[in-house]
Amino acid sequence: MQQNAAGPALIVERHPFLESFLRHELQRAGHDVVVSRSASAATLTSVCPATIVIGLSGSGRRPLEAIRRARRERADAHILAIVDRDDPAWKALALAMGANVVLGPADGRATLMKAIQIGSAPRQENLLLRRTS
Amino acid sequence: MREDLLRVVIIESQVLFAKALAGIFAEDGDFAVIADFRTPDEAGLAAAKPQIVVIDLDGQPTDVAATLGACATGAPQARVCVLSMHLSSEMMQRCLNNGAEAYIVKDISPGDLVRAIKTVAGGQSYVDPRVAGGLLRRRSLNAGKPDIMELSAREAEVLKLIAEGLANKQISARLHLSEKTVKNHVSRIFSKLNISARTQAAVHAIRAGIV
Repeated sequence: MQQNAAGPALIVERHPFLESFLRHELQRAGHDVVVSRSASAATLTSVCPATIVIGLSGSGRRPLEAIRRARRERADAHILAIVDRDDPAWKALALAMGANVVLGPADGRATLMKAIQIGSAPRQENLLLRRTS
Repeated sequence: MREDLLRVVIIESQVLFAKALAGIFAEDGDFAVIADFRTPDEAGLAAAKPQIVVIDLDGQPTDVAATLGACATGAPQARVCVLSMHLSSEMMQRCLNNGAEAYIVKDISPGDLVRAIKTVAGGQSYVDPRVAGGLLRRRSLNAGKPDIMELSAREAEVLKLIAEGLANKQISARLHLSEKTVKNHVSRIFSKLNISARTQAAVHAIRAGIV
């Protein structure tokens, strides 16, 4: 099977209609997409995602634990968290847990695409460096 | 725009969710998403004249009664479909009491979501079957007794104040309502609970744990 240039992406999102939208956008950006309801160690190991998109909804620390687990298992992955509240403290926590980018309720498709592209760019650059060295 | 398309307005506090919903409706081909708002915009709704309002209650800054009330004021002709993350028969009942025609839990698949909205557009109601089951079980346990969950959020608020011993005039001052409006609420509470005295109302409120 031909692999897409942007590498595998994992979506961890429990709302099917948002998951469907994210999958479409990631595929448009050149990712092979895998969807999971949880960021389990087994999933992270088998998929080896270069990009991880995690939807955070609900209260408590449990949603944030998914980011921490993903960062622990995939140190070099680009982790994009989508949060459902305009709360700077919540966003700061998501970043502290290991997210590279946090999108809030006001962020739309353009910001999402930019965040996905930021994640893809360094890896493409690294790939070029490896090929020329 | 084709005249046979269902005119839909999406009210969603999360922009990405709104885009996802709009994408699902566009893909189906039977809908035209006229506008999307982050909160119920009465003027915007009035201008859009939707047949269907799809509103995600999660993240809305006001309570269920105020949020759905704004939808009804802005688009009185529209059928309102509520999206919620809560798998709760109490929440569903509150939404239906405040004018919603559908209660859809957000773990629904895109295909089922479209079917649910079409059901509502066709003149029927839709509630998540898992939540409807909970409601039926509770009604069965109540064995036909009046259910406090049939009260709207505002009526429940008035009932709580009745149980605290406030007179209509004091309730009207507390809730910033006219005394006549409070009297109307009290009549509806009495009718829904099948009672005739304020002390009986207080008993219902205490049993339901709202005071």
